Amino acid sequence: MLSLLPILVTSSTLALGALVRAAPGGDEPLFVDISSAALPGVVTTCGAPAKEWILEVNGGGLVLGDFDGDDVVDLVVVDGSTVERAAAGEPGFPPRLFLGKGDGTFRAAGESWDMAGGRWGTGGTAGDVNGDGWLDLLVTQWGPERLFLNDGGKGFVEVTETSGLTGERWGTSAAFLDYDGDGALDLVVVNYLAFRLGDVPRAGSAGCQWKGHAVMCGPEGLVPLHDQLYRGKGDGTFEDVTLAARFRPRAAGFGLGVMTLDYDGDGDTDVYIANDSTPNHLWQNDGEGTFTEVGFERGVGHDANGREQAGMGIACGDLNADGRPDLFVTNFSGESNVLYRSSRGLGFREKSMFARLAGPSLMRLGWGTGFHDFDLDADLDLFVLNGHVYPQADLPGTDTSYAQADQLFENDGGRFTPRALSAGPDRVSRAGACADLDGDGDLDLVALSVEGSVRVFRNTAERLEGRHWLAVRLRGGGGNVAGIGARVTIEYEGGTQAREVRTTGGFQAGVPAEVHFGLGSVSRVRRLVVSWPAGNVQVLEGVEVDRRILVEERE
Amino acid sequence: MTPALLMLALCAGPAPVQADGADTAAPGAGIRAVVLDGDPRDLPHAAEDRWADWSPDVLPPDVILPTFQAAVRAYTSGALPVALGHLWTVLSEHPDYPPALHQMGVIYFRLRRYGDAVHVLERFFARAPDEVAETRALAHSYYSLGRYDDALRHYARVLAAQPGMVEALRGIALAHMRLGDAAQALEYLERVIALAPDHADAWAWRARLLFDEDRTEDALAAAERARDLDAFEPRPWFLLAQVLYELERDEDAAVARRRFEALDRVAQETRALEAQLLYDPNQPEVLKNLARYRGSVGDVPRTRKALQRLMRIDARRTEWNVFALDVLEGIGDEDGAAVVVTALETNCAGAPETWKRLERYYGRLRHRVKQVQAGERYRLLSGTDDH
Repeated sequence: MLSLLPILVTSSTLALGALVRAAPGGDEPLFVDISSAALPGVVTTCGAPAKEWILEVNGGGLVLGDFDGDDVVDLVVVDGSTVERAAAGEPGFPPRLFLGKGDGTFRAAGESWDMAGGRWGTGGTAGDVNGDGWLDLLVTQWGPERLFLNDGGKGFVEVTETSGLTGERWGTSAAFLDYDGDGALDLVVVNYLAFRLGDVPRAGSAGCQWKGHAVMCGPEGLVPLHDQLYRGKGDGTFEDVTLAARFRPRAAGFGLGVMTLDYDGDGDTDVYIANDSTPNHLWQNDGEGTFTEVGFERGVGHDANGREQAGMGIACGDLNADGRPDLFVTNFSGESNVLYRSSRGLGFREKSMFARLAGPSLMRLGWGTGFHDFDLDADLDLFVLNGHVYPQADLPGTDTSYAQADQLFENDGGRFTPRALSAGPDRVSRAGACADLDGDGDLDLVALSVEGSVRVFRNTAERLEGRHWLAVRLRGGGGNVAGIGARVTIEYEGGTQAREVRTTGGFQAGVPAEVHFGLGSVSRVRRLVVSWPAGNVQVLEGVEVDRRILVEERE
Repeated sequence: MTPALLMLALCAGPAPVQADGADTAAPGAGIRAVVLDGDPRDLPHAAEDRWADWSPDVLPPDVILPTFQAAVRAYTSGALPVALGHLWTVLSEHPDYPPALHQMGVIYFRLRRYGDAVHVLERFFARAPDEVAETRALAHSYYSLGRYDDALRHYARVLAAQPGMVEALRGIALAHMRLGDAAQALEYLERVIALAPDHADAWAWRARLLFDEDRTEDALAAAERARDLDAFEPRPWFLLAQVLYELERDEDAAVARRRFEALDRVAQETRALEAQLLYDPNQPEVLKNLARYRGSVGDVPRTRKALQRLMRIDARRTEWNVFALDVLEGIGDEDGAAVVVTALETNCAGAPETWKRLERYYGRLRHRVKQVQAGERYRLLSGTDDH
């Protein structure tokens, strides 16, 4: 358990200057694949390799968080199933918890953490839904959502039946938030499409084609499903308030990605949803328990030419330090990934080209993504995991491939330079999630492929000279223990940075409720300001860097 | 299009592709496996000086001519895979024959196989460097692959060979835009508009760039111009709505948005239909749906084009002419309807359904004499008396 001290350094000061450093720069990838040591033999399944149905292509999920309260990040791998198992009514492969050892590697959790197989797991997120100080787990699947309460750091107890979660759809991504500011975590579940085995034609049987090749059918031609908003009661149960909160757009989208953010800076949490082949939705929290969909008006529903795109994953961060978050959405091959930069008023402008993020993504199909300061130089970089949905992408004339290189985009003053994420081979990547797995101050990455081994990448930013960092966790006074939705701003000589506390990883992934700042050569933070979800503001003066701190909410 | 031209297109279009075996049928079985699933990099290469004396002014050698002509005819009729098959034959037997390389590159580009297009067109360009003006598809292909620097360089080559080529100027503008140089992009778009003031696409791109540059009023004017030039294209309406929201003219923006959404729904459907037609243009039901969608928003020119493509399969099919008349009447295209009526009377006079439909047509026009004549003709041909 975390201490309740107002400011607690939860890891010893890790002065990077004390480490042996390599020369900065060079072409050496920042990330090193340590999977064979970190997570040996852990694989996931999502249907068969031939991918004859759309159900088989999105892959599983990842959730990072500290479940056993040892102050080290653990990992939940959400696994899928096969069409044969589903058709036979057999359960899918169960989600599995792996406990972090603090050095970037994991070990299998004991039996008390075992979870039964569901129908077909897809994604998940974590949050303390009953305010007991322990991280609970929400798993999405093709089928009903599943909720696992954390039994005091000793194991999971599935409470799906009594949770009030009513989804019986195809959930993809999910996010905890406190949209009504009552201190209890609420939940958004993003749904994809109506899929029943036998109703959707098999690849090659219904004229479904891509670039002249017969491929699996969908999402075009299939029925998109509405997303759901659940209001948390603070005791681990929920009620579906989708309609009451007007969380229902004029037209449903093929939902895949979700992000919580305060886009209009009014202190409450808004929601952005990436939809496949349909316009993305930006849900503006009206502050009175209801939402209004403003994606079109704000310029984040389509690309700059009015084309709906195949939205997959979402990254969110304040790239230009204007106090408003910017959004990045990964898309299909043949479409560019899109950067929506906040502009005048409350709108956004698509600035993918200016940021040099358009061309390098054009022939790739992006999924998991995130803005983080990977090289600790005080600006936000970007990772994008890539991989096609069609194995037929390897046939002639497609201009792309099934397995693709993952990408790291280094921020060079607002424009991005593509780098290889690692030296590893191309993969058919899907979800990804970042956290400091080894406690060295930089953010590491876990990546899922559509099937096969789960990969763990260790960030080697410690070899770069003079890079400082600061990580901040919050402890809220109410039921929203982790302060999800709070905003943390740091001010230092020469700049400011701000982050929002969230646990959604953008695409079928959850991340720890911790904000992380790269600081470059800055060795002292002048002020740290926490704007809590309840509206109170807390200021800390003179914060030491190269450490992880815990800030407790004060009245 | 004038009625005369439309009639020409509807009634005298190319013969059905599949029916004309000599010219346009696939060259042998397994065209799909050999050509569409084939890789043009596997085509043989000729000796470096093999086509050194080739000139675009000279007809293909006799040994190539029939197959090459068949390819051109198939291409003209929209049967791109068939055309590709013929060209594959030509290039397998006569490696690197420049016109075949060029045609193949253009087809790959139209099939959106940009990497293949680049390969083939680079081979053409290497064989025929003097024909650079004909290689804008190579620059388009670089662009479509996200190779914007290469696109920029090649557009510049094309433009050097043919200054004032609007397509190349537009291409350079967009390549600059993709590379994040808005000022250069705007400059080239101005040149496009100076040469082609009614270039709707250039106005739309201009609107977008100006909006990006926060020149909102200028963007509004450009978007309005783009909309006026092509009122059935969704993009100008989208840009218009975005600009109007920015100007806090929310009511006007909402009107533009509604129109965008109506047109965009149609555009999504028609894009899907066009994708189906790309590899098989002779699908009557798909073409009919295309015409229906185009007609649903009152887009007369594009509705006519869809109907023309249907008629190219078989202009004498009574059922299709009746369908065309239904659609054109439905969107109030009286000129187009009159052309179809002529086609029915000329090409489908022996079918009772022709006259049954024309009786209704003339009745709507209150052309009593023709209405009665059509009715009599229908009863005579059908042997019925259900008037």
